[in-house]
Amino acid sequence: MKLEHGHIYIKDIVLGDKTQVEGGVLTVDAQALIAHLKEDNKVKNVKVDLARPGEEIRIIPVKDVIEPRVKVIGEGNGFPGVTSKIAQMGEGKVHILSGVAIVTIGDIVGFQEGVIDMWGEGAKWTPFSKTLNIVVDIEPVEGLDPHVHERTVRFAGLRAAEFIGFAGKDVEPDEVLVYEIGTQVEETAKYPDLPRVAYVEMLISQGLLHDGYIYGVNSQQILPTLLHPNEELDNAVISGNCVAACDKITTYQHQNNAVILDLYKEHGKTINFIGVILTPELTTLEGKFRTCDYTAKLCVNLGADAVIISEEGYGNPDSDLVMICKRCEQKGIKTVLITDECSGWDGMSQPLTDMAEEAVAVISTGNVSHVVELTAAKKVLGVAEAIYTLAGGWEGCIAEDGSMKCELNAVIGSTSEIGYHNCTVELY
Amino acid sequence: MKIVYYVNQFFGQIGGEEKAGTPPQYVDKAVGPAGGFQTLIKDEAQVVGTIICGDNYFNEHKEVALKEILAMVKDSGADLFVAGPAFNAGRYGMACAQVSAAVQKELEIPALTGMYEENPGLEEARSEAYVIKTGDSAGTMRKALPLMAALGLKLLKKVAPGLPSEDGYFAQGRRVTVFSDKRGSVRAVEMLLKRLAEEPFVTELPMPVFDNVPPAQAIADLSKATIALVTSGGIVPLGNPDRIQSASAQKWGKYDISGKKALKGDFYTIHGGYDPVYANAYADRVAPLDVLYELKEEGIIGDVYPYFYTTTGTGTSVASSVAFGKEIGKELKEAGVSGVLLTST
Amino acid sequence: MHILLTNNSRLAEEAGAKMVSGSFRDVLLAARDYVYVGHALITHPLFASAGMMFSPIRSILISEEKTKDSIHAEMIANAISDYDKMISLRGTDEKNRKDYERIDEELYRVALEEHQRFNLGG
Repeated sequence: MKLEHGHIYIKDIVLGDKTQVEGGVLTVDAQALIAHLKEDNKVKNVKVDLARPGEEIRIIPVKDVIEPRVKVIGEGNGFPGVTSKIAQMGEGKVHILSGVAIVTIGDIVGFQEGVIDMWGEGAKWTPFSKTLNIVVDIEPVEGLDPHVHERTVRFAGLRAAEFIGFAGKDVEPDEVLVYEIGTQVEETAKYPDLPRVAYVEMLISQGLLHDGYIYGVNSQQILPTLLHPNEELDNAVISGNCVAACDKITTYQHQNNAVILDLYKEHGKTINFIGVILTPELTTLEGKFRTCDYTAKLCVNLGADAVIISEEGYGNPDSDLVMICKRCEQKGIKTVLITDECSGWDGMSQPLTDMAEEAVAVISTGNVSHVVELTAAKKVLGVAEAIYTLAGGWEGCIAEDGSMKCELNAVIGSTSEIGYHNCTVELY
Repeated sequence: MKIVYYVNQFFGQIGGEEKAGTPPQYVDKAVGPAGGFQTLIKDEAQVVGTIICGDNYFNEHKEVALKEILAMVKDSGADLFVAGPAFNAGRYGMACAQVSAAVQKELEIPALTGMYEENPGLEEARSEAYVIKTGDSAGTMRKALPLMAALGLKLLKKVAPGLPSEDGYFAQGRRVTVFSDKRGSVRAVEMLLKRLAEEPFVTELPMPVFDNVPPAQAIADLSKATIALVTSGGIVPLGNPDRIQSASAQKWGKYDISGKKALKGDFYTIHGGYDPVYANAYADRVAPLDVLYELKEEGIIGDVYPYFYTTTGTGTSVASSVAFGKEIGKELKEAGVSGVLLTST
Repeated sequence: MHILLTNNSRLAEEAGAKMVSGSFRDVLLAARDYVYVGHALITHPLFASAGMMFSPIRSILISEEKTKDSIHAEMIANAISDYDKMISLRGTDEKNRKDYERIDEELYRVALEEHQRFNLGG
């Protein structure tokens, strides 16, 4: 498969009468975007705001982050199986409004966390303080069942990304990156001596607000499955997870999966990157055993010499992570795990709920209980009261000057377990 | 700024083993290694006093000794407390460790000591105080003191210590979230390439050390077996004749139970980690000699070994526990015991 | 069949439901007591995200049959200590209790359906 990412580097975003890109500036016609989203009769109101890096803006509670793109060559514009007709993804050419993100907000439940601070201390902790954000606040009609509510907000975000992405259709990209990996037979013939490396990407698959979708299929319903890395880089995987702010994989992070991109850089040089295995993190123990056995079996049958395994979430998925690791290592496949940890406010507690001596190579992307101090925002986009849930009910968490303490837990992408961010842990 | 120093009878230049019973005394000058420490930190701070205490006195009168020493530290108005280094000396190490931990915890004065990695004191101190890594003998004093002085100055000036590997101390176990110059996925790919090339790599989340002991072979014929009773539940004869510590035990005890049908009445608990009421009323609830005796009467087991072994598990360091286990195990093996009933609380 | 240990009032009428009066932690303790006499965990006792650990509501499915597999005892003991660590300083989020009940029910239904896909799920 060959996929081209044509990056149109966007320097600024402004509101205006026409959605277009000119001289690296993206103009957004907010009214047209709102009208487009309200074509869905379940959407009652939409508000559109812009948030640029450095502005004293807090966005809360974030549901998803999505990158605006348009397919210019090949089939499957949008998110096939979700917002558009099903298509085989991973081939052709995509234009990307690089540096721009659609950020959807909307409180499906009262305890949703997920904050992005565009400035100051808070900005350091989230990768989405560096993007030019088009913040879409979606209010659905009353009386929707929570599933329909969630889907309405999810679809609106994806449709907004499609709508904005279309502005890049006829713009010459500043840079084109080519992602090409052939069939197993071809690549093995080309690189017979390079070690074969697979990527196991785990997805929370446990029910409402805890889901992920592959070509529109809820990952709860699948056995672990093999993807060509290009498919994920081409909108095949989206997020339906909105209760694990720090370590959920947003749609944007699927579209730009850091592990896939960094393995691609080594493909043909030091490794033969043989594919991505998406593995659901189920709730039942029997389900966990089945998917972990099955994942290890796929790795064995693909002839993998080594795998990177990334977790999504914290708590019960730790068991899956450790089980997949054990099974692979016992089959002689070398593993590197990526996970975040919960070592308490003081960092003195045991970091994972499950451990194994086979887990010899682990990347830690930070302590979810690490406490950070956020200063008061000049402007809050979303639900200002969500701050109180965010601050989490411990004494003295909000100071008189409006600054507050919160755990990384609540900060979008702070401890990204696909290694999208820079946090790590040092032992002192 | 003021520093107060702690040394044992030997480094305090009052004598050797024969003076190990000396109670703590405060001398208002730098004695022994405190002098070297003073030279290294030049005039940035003053060692205002040295506390000298015999190792045996400390270990045998721990509670009293700690109280006296803490009072001396408090009265000195110290900004920093330094103990040792103790190298691989066990009793001195325990004293340095426990005093440092208490100074840090109870007086909130930064505390610093130094010892060898196998010193049993290490586990007592490392999560509270800073413990500099030293060699196993006093011959390495020259290497240890400059590291202690450098870290001591940082603590005095309230400069955050660097990584354990940078400043030469044993990690305290605090996992601190920081920023790396590389994103997580890049670090993962680099670690994977190192693994594939069989080059050394450093995991970012070390797993705990799994000390798995393979189980012994099953006893073929229980009716001919001699079973010994061992506990870490702090069950001792009334009056605790060997003065086994109620926490952080330094020793174990061995008591003749031949002819006894139960421990009840003659034994009680000195364990500091649980409510003693029910164990004191009936010590067999923790170490069930009564049931063992019944099994013998019924012929299910051959015999009960005539000695009972005991210590206190709470707060006892892993190193001490391993040592006790080896010592007790050796005796039992030599006595031909076939199996052990080991109870904990 | 299975036993549903829950403090979620929405699930009181469910098959096999045994209501636990009390907190999330009390549900964990109830599960522990069953597991320690041999019942197996059908669902993992913890949620899938650090955020959900602040829920005051929890439902856990355990087997009616007994097992000799020690993994269940290990898992529930670890879950309790992990839960205590999560919750020690922040406390549960009582304000959003109704929403947690709703989501807990959703997750329970998915878990039950997942369980029943296996033959032993009956």
